[in-house]
Amino acid sequence: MGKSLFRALSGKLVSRTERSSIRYTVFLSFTISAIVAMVLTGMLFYINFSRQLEQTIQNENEMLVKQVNQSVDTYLRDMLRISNSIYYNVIKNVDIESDSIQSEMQLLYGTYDSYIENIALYNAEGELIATAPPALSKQGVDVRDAAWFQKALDRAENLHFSTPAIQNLFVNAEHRFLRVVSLSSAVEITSGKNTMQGVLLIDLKYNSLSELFDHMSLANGGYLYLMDANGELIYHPEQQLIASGLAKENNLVAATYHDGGQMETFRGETRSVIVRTVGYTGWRIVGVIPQQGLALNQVDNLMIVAFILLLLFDIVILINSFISTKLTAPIKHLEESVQAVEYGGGNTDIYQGGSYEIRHLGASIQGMVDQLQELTDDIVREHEQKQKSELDALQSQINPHFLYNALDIIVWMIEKEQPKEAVNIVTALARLFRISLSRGKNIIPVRDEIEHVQNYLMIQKMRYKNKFSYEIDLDEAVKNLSIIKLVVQPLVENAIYHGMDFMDGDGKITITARVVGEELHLSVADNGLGMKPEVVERLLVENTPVSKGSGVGLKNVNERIKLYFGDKYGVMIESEPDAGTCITLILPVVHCETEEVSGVGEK
Amino acid sequence: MGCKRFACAVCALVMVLASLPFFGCSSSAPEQKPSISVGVAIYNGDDTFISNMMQSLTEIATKYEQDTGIRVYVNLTDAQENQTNQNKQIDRFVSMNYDVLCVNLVDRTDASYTIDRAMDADIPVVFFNREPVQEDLQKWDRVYYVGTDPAENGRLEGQIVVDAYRADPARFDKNGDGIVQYIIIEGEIRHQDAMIRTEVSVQTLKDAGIELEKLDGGIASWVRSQAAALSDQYFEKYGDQIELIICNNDDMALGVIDTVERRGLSFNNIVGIDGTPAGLAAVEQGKMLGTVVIDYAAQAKLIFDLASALAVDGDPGAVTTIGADRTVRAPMYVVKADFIP
Amino acid sequence: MGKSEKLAFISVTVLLICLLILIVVRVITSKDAVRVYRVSIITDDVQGDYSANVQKGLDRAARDYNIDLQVIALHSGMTTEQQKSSLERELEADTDAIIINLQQNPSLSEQLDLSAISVPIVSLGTVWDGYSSIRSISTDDASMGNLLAQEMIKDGVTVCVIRASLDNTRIRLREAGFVKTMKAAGVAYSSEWDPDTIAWESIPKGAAVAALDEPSLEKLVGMPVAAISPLYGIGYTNALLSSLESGAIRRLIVEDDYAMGYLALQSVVDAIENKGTAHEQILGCYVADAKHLYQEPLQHILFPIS
Repeated sequence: MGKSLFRALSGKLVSRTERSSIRYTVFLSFTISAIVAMVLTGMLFYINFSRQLEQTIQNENEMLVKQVNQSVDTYLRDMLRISNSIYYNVIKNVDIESDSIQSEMQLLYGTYDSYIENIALYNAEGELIATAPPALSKQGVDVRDAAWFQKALDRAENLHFSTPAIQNLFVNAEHRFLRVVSLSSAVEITSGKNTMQGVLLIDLKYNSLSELFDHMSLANGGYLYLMDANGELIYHPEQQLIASGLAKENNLVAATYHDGGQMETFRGETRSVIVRTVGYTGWRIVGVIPQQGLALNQVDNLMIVAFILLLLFDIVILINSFISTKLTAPIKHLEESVQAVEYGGGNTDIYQGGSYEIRHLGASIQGMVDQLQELTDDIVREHEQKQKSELDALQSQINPHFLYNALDIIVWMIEKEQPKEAVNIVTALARLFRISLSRGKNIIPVRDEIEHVQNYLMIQKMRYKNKFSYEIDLDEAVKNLSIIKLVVQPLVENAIYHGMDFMDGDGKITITARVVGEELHLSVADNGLGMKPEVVERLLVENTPVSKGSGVGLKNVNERIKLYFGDKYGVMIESEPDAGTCITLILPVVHCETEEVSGVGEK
Repeated sequence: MGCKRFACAVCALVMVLASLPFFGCSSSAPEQKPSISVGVAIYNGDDTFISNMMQSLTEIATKYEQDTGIRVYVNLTDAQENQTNQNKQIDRFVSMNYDVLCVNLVDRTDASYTIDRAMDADIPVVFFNREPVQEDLQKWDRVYYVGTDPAENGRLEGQIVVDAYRADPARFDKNGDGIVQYIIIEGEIRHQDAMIRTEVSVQTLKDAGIELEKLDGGIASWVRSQAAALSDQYFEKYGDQIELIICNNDDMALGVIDTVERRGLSFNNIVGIDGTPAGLAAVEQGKMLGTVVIDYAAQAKLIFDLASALAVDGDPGAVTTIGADRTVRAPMYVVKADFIP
Repeated sequence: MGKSEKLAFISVTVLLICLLILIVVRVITSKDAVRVYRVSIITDDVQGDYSANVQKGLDRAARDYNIDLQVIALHSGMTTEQQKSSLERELEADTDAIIINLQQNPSLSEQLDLSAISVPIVSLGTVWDGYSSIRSISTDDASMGNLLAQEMIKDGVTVCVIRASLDNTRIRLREAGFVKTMKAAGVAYSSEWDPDTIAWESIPKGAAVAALDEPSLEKLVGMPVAAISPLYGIGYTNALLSSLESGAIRRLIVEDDYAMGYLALQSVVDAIENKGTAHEQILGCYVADAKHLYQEPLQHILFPIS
């Protein structure tokens, strides 16, 4: 099934290619391959990079949460250490009845006063034993009701961190209400001979904890917050707003999450949430990264990528258009030239340029066109010639002077009561005309042509009152050869008019025909006046209408021979003034069977 | 070739358009009437001396506005005794391009952050009331300090006691041993003013020939309730032995007075420094011997004059005398209780 | 270039230009998002720390919304004329919006020609009758008065009411609420006005004294009457809260100042960006007593985390 589909598609493709110009196909395939390459490359890189980026951002976020976890951990540990230090170095084994622990407490407080608001030691009845910095207990406040006090005594082996609250212990002349985190632990107090339980309270400044989270921001407007194990907020960048109801957080749900990362939806927003538990306290750090903007960022990125791709697309189109035009221009020019030739501009030059194949094509086509042109010219010329000669032949056939003279002679003969001569002349005339027509053929046997000449000679001899004599000498081989009709007679005519007119009975015309090699030489020689060389030249060139004869003209003969048989053959004139002239026809040997030669057909 | 030219033109257009976002749009600030913005960062709004001074400052600013027609914006922030907070507030002022900063440092040893940020942004700084060390002040020539001279404070404070002693030595010698047993309640541990005042006031007494015995001393960090708690302990411990209580400032003296009243004692050999309204009231009521008034209104005026001169790029030296150590000292005077001549 | 190629080129170019415009628009609009607004707040509430928490709310909102907040204080040392001229000068200045918080002299706000002001105005603390185009954030003063009356009725004390001056709109409203509830409950009360001129001896023993604003309450606390009569009041300062704790004051009716400040600036941003409509935002009030002082919701209202 796939194969047939493939074949159908490729077939379609092929037919499409055949219908479009080569330039368009080249352009299209260049462009498509360039674009496919660009898009694939771009997509691959983009996907790879964005995945890497996402991964990096996620890692960074997790790293940040880990770091904050670390710093909170360190902070809590430091505070634990302070508490322990106070207990073990200051309180334990010191008899508070006799000694004062005030100055040691003050020392420790002084060192850590940026973290600590107050250090206070209470006994189990909630009475204040010592405190640093100096402070007086507030009236009406029983610390035994406080959660930090109770929790410390509940689990005496542990230290307890409370959630932030306003301190409510000491007289405050400035009416300050400070937010603190209470670190409380049960301690053993020695008083005189007794030991009793007490609670060591270190009230930590809320600022020192919240500072760990300040300026910590995650990607895409994300943030961190701290909550206790139950989800109650300890620190949140918008804690006050949440308390006032102006903002909301999903902390109660987040309290149920395990440590690690996950996605959640809160108030219609998708967020990535990273949770880590802080040691010892069970507090949890939550990092929240909104996903919304990320998607928009992606849209922005995609738009830029799309922009770049489209820009490249535009450039590729331009470049490919240019290249494909330049590449296929020679072919196009060649095609145009050929078209021009087809539409009849016979003399147009074929374009020859471009790559060597196209140049070769061009040259070949040029050659063929030239040859065609030549042949066409030849045909046309021959055609014209043929028409002309037929016309001439026709003319000769009905040359009035010759006919008048012949008829005169016949009349004279009849008047002279020489019927036999009259019959001969009539018969000769008739035969002359028959051969002239030759049933429309152009090529006739040599003997027919000679017969025609003989008849002519006979008539002319009588006319010219035996001023001349003639002799015909043919080779046996020649008689069955073919020859163009009406080629000898004009020669004879020429000989008579130019040679015999001034001979008083001594004129002799000799007609000979020989086979010389591959050629047939038919000569008509006379011993007449001869011609000067210039005249000879002119004879073959000029179309001198011979007024007195049935003249087709020597030129005509020459041309016809050349036309029919080629340039190799034709008329050769040898003449010597006062000696005589010999005009020879050089013709190919053509046997009678092959009648119409060289494919020159009738119209 | 026409299509080629067309294509080139379109390409060029696209290129030009593509480069537009990278030039960005420059927002031109509209023409404004002259105004100066002053960023004031105090270390603790609960410090009565400072808060009184700030109130004067705003009043002086308003008057300046009316006199000169230059609008003054004063933005007051309270660091709540946290230097990190204050640094953040300084950052905010700098990023909002305030004309001048007036800073009352939380931690006087930590001035370099403020000076560095201000220097980078070329915003002059006037520190006040909590003096940075000389090395920090000399870092840049557009940094100044307006404050009081703690040695003179201490000397005047001591002088109050001397005058009272001379008028009636017996009040300071309950046990008749000719020695004045005193307790000193000091300000913040890192505060130079506290150390100098303590030393000089005691020295003044010694120089006047009064015999002294230090019963005890404690640090109440300028805070009234801490002084109250401390003095409570001392009264508990020493009772009548206490003949004189010297406090580094009025708030702490008032704390001692609170304890005295709470315990129902009649003891008023107490001296302080600052001259806050509450302190002056206490002196008037005879609850303490006297106080050294640091004219906070005058100090506020000094601060503001200096700050406004710097903000308009004027010459600070023209408005007040500035010492070689880049400090301007506020004037002070003594107010004694009626019974002291 | 063939016809189809030209077509392809032109269509791609058009697409390109559209995309470019889209990108540029997005860039510009995202740049706008970090614009800093200049907002002035004109307030006459500078004495004492009545407005400390309001300021905290304002500061927080200023940070969240990138606002340069300038406080123009009209203090009592200025004459009414000076105050008015300061106000007008501020209105002409180049700010993006103005918050008006005139408590002592609210008539001043009524003297303003609001039609001449082109920037958005938000009223903090009071509602301006007759101006529907102004957004306001305030607490329902009438219900504060009402609540105060109810608490006093609950405690079963006879009442004598003090307040500083009726010129203050808020106090007028509180008094109205108080009076209404008292009348409805049929409880007798007497109203006196100035703590300085009151004949304290005339107050019957056991009668409670209520003040409708912080300054009056502070005055009362310092007076001998505080020792004999329980005090009630509206509003709070840290000092008053200490008195509440110690028992000198029995009840305080308080409002969420921080939320008020924050919402005021939020409302300003909405007004500048033309989001939402002008409307009154009325916040609720709460009863504070020593027992619940350190519990929620009072803990976060009275002691906001800044």
